[in-house]
Amino acid sequence: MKTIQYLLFILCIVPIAIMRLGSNASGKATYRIGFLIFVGSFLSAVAYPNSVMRLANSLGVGRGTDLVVYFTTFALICFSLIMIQKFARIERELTELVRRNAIENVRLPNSGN
Amino acid sequence: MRSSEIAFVVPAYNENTVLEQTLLPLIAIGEVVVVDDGSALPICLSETTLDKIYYLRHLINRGQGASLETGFSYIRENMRQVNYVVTFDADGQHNAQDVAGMLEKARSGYEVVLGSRFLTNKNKIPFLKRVVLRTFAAIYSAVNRKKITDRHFGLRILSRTFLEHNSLVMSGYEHADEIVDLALKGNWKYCEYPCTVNYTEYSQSKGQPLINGLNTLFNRMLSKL
Repeated sequence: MKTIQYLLFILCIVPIAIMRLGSNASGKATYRIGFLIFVGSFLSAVAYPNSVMRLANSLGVGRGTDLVVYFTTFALICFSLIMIQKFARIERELTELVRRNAIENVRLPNSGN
Repeated sequence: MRSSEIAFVVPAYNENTVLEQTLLPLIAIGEVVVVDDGSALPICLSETTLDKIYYLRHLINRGQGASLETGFSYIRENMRQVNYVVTFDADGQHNAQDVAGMLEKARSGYEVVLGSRFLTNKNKIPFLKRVVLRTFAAIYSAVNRKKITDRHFGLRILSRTFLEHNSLVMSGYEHADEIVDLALKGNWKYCEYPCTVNYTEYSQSKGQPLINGLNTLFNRMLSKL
């Protein structure tokens, strides 16, 4: 197996970690650091095109493009997971809000209105 | 005999006059809590019936599981005298006569009494529906090593103690599986009870299409993460 394959398998831990990270301060900080790394690697890849190729070769990947595709896909998966989690949380909160409203505005038997 | 220690939770979404016919026999048995899940149509009930029930309304549609949990929350907080909560579908597919037998089971100490349409051969269940539901039930039974013939039947009785310790998180149709899982994992005393089912064109059109099972499965997997 090539280095990149080991690396990508190890990276599989990241989505699991994302699931464990909550929306607390350390979780949010981790997401922001991840985002900065993502933007930073994009900018350096544009500024130094050859660096991507050299990095790819050193990891056992033939072309820089392939490496970019791997990491972009990986970033997309992480992003989707974070969004799914966030939406699920908002949905739960929304349900709770609607529920509270329904309970407070109950129409009781014999209320005649 | 009407008893105030029994409460029905009936989730309703865009129901027509069938709702009134469904509720009438229930009102004769116990308290009725109707949770209107943000129906677009105004609720189809006469004033006299409306005056005999607790009526809660979701401002927006949140799903059947969310509606049930709203009813449960209301009962937990405001109806202290209720000891047995019966979940009952609004579309007229259940028979109120089955409730008496299930209550007997609940009173004899079962915390969860699940209705099952497969324990009696009186029911005419569409072939595909039967095959799919039975297959899933068999897989789950094998995995959990506890036999349950029907995991997705809307008529069930939950004791107050069970509801004080458990609340539903899944908002859609996943709640059926969720209730069974909670009962099994918490080692609650449960049993199944043979129930009749009336599939009418109306209830079939209101019921979930089988393909929704896939969505349900996906949502449940995500919720485990």
